Amino acid sequence: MRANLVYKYGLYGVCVAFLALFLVWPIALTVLGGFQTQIDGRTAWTLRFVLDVFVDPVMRDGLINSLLIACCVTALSLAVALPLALLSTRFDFRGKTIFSSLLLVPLILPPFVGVIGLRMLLGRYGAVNSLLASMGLGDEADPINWLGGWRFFGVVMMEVLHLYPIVYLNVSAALANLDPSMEQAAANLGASRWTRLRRIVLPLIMPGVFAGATIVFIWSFTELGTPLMFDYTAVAPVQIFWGIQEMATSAQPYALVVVMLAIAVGLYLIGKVTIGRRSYAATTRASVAATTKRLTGGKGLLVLLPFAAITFLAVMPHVGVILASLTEPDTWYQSVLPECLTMAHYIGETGALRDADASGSIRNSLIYSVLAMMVDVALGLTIAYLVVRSRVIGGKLLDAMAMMPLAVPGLVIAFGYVAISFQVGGWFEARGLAVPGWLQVVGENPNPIVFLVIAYAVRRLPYVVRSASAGLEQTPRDLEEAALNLGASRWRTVRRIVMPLIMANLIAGGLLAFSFAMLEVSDSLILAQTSEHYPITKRIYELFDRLGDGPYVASAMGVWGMALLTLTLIGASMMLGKKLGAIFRI
Amino acid sequence: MRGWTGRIVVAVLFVVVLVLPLAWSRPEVSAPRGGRTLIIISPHNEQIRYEVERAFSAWHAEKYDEAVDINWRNLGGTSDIERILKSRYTALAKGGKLEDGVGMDMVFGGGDYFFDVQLKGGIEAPIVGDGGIVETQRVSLTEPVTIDPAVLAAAYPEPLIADKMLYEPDGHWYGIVLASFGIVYNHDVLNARGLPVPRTWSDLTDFHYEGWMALADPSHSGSVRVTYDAILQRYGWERGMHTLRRVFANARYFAPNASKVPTDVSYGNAAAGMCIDFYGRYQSQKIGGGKRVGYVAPAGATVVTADPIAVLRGARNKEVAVRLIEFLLSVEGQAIWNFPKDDPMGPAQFELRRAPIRVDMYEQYLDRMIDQVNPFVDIAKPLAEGTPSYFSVVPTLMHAMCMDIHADLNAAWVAIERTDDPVKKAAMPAEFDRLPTTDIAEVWRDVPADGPSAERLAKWYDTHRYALARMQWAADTLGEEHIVAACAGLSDLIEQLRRTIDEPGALPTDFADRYRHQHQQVERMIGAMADHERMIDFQTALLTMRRPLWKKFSWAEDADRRRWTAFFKDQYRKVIALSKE
Repeated sequence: MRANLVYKYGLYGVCVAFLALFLVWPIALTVLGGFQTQIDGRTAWTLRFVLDVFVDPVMRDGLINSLLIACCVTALSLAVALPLALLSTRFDFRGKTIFSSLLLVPLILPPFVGVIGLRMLLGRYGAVNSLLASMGLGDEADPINWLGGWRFFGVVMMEVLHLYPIVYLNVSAALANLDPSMEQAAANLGASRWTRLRRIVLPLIMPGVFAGATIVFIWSFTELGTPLMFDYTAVAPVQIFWGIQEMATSAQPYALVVVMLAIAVGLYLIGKVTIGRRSYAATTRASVAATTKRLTGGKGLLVLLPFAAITFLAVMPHVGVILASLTEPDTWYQSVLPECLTMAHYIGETGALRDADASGSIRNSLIYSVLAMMVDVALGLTIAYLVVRSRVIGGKLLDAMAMMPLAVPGLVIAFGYVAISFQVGGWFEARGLAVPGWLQVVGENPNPIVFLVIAYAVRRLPYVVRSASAGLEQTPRDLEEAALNLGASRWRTVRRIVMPLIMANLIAGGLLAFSFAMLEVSDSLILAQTSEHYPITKRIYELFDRLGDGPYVASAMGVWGMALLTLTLIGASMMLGKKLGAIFRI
Repeated sequence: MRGWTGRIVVAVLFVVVLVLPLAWSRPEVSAPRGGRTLIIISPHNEQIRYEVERAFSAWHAEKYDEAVDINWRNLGGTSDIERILKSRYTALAKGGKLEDGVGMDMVFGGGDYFFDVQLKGGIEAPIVGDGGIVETQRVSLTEPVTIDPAVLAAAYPEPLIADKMLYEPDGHWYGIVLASFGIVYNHDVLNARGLPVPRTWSDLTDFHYEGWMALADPSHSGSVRVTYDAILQRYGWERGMHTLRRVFANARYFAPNASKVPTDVSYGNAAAGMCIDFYGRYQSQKIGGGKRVGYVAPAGATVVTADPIAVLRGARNKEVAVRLIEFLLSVEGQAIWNFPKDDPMGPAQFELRRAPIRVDMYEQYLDRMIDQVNPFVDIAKPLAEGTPSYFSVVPTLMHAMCMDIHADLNAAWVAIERTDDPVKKAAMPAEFDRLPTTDIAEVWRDVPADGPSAERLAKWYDTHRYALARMQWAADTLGEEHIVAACAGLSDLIEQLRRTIDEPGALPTDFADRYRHQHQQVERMIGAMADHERMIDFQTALLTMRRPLWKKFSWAEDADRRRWTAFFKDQYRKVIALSKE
């Protein structure tokens, strides 16, 4: 028993230490960096940089724009996802199964790649304007400047189309847990359909709505890739990204990060206290399966229509990417569709699959992501087991720490790693030692593999922990206890009983961690600074700006990533079935 | 059963997608290993690196019967390279090991300013004596090397193109190719909007370009920074600002990467843009075969600069490094830059479209080149004597005046265009074109009474620049008699300054030195004021003097930018208000 305790708290200590080192420390360094200044070689404390964020018109506007984007994205995602979730839980109709899984596809097709397609579709001489022109609409001398004039809305639209599935999954899960007897009781008492929705259903699913909306809000508030691809520099994350260029000399980017973090965490807590408290869900649990109404014929089609429309809109940019990747350079210009197709961007000498730089970055990304996935699965399983099964003292704390990345912008953590690299590098230099490449981010010969793998792993840890916890909560303890009674060791029990039972959850969680790592933008752009170590996202970003065939090869790389991730998602949903939604909860 | 088929299909597809790029990838092309290795840090793109390495190893193997391998370090753009080299050499200097080098032999590409000012200008290295650090000394990061005099004479019959150096006389750096800056444009868009083909910068101020100009951010891209500086130098301060402000008002938006400019133009998202020559030419040929996209270097209104190579301090392979320089300056080495692929002397895989630096290449081989333009004759023109460089202030100034408040700038510009009332229309540009000034008396009030703090000193230091600015504007707007008054005011100011400087212990040495230096400059300035012709000197000093302050305090640059931003924002609002009166 004592040995057991030692193991248990030993593992607990390892998990806490890992999170303290790679999550708390970088955040702390970043936050402190915003309050420090160097005067004559000494470190002094100041509030100036943080105050300057509010004084400086540029940074102030950046913050306001980011907040506006986050508000618009959250509101629109709710507006899109709530009705869809209600429809799909209330009604059965032809094509429901297919379309409710298609709805999730945008989640793994990142807006970062979609923007490339969008630029082809919405350019002044692009597909949409050409379509308008062919219908006799639009002014040829002054075609609609979709991207130049409407960049704010472009960013919002791309992010809504990317993030609404998170709200959809959360709300659907909350609706599925709703006890239909409550609504029936209300109906018996004479409440109308609208009153029931307003007074019974919405309050009961509020925790689910809040959970989805929070993730979407923080995600869009700190999203870097999408505005960057739109060249929309008037948002805080992009300003921070460019600020890193002056990292060594200026504390200003740190201060901006501090303010962003404060806003993100503050809003999260406010939401948790005001909305999260009013949770009635815990008191009831669905005792009867909710009844769905079967719709046939015209009505069924009518309900199907919004699903089809949203899916169509959401995959449009990615269809654009696929077309762009097949376009002979310069032949998709003043035409609705490309006029000449080619496979050269995939298999040509400088194509995505053959070029040493491009395929090298695919290889890098695979290595980084697989390693990150392994770290995540090992750590996620351990944390879930400690919290759910072993009931260690302080389990709540560990769980809360593991969930922290959901409230902390990826940019903050990436920035923190840069600060760590400076600190550790300084320690080496002070002792006259050479700084090893894997501890450098900006330096003579940095190799970002360690920082990137850890960054990817930490960022997606919550999903794996949630996935493993859900599995553990659903498997009965009796089997483990039986194994222990029969003399199996704790480790053997975990290996032979627990892991096989929750394998589906582990694989699904791991696959999601893997796919998000493959297309992680902010960490990759900041932490990978040398070409030979670029992951796929940074290469796409660089290629996008290469003259000539650059954007097309970037599209081809994006298509490859999309294919891999779509297959991953299909695989995960085959393993998990309906439980997929459980992962995107907080 | 059906479930299993599905799963197997998904699994097989997954593996296929995963393996495809790994199995298919083209093995990296590299020269045979085993010989000597030259390590070069460079912002040049893959195409240039490939062609230079290929041609040099072939030449070296033939001439010296020895294999040479180039190991390229691609650590980002010019500013990244500067940061990395400076931090590495500073660390070496602290240990007194400067001559050990940083493990790299050469640096290649980035423009003459980067090589001459930033690399040759180098770092402040401490000299360690018995009692610790005695004093500091500037050391260059480049190491002067001498090359074969015959090669030198053949490569550079003249040391200059117009008034720009082609190489550094002590051998700190050698120019290899030439770069000029110009306008890239889209014929289709110009036709649709009824615009003539642009010939020079001021053509781009036409209101028909509103929302159709592609521009890049000068704080990220060195090449566009040179372009904006060139406009100011060629047109002079006032006309230059006049032009830049209008072109920026026409901008669609500001891309962080200079290469976005030709890309956007070629897709028809912009009518025209400003970029470095080979970007424009490359995109023109690559997209639409020259019929859609065009490039023009504004004759006499751009600058032509050398793009150099240099040997780094402490290089281990100096011998091979010198051979590389000699090769790049030979006719064979020069031919790879602008000959077509099918020419026996041309590049093997990529047409680079850059301009060779040897003038005899144009005299002998112009007909074999892709771009049949001789920059020595067709583009380069010396600047007027005494023209200052605004290079160091361009990014901050353009951010404050145009980029950070682009919506206001654009709205004011549109308001001027849309105003019908001729009286108002005549009055608005004067407001639109104003530049910031500060009243001397107002700033002087802030001078600290009780011992200066660092911040206040900096502000004080700033004061003098404002005093100068004030004089400048007095001269420009009010006439000569006001200069006399302003000079008198300045003399008082200088007297106070002198007393402060000479009083022992009143100022930290560092600041006293700065003041003394500035003080001399102010006196020189007063001399210059008397001579109206030399007013231009005055402007240079005015602006370039900001740089040392910014370097010392990064917040000072922020403060300047903020103050300017507020000024310009207010001004554009006034213009809009005028239109609504």
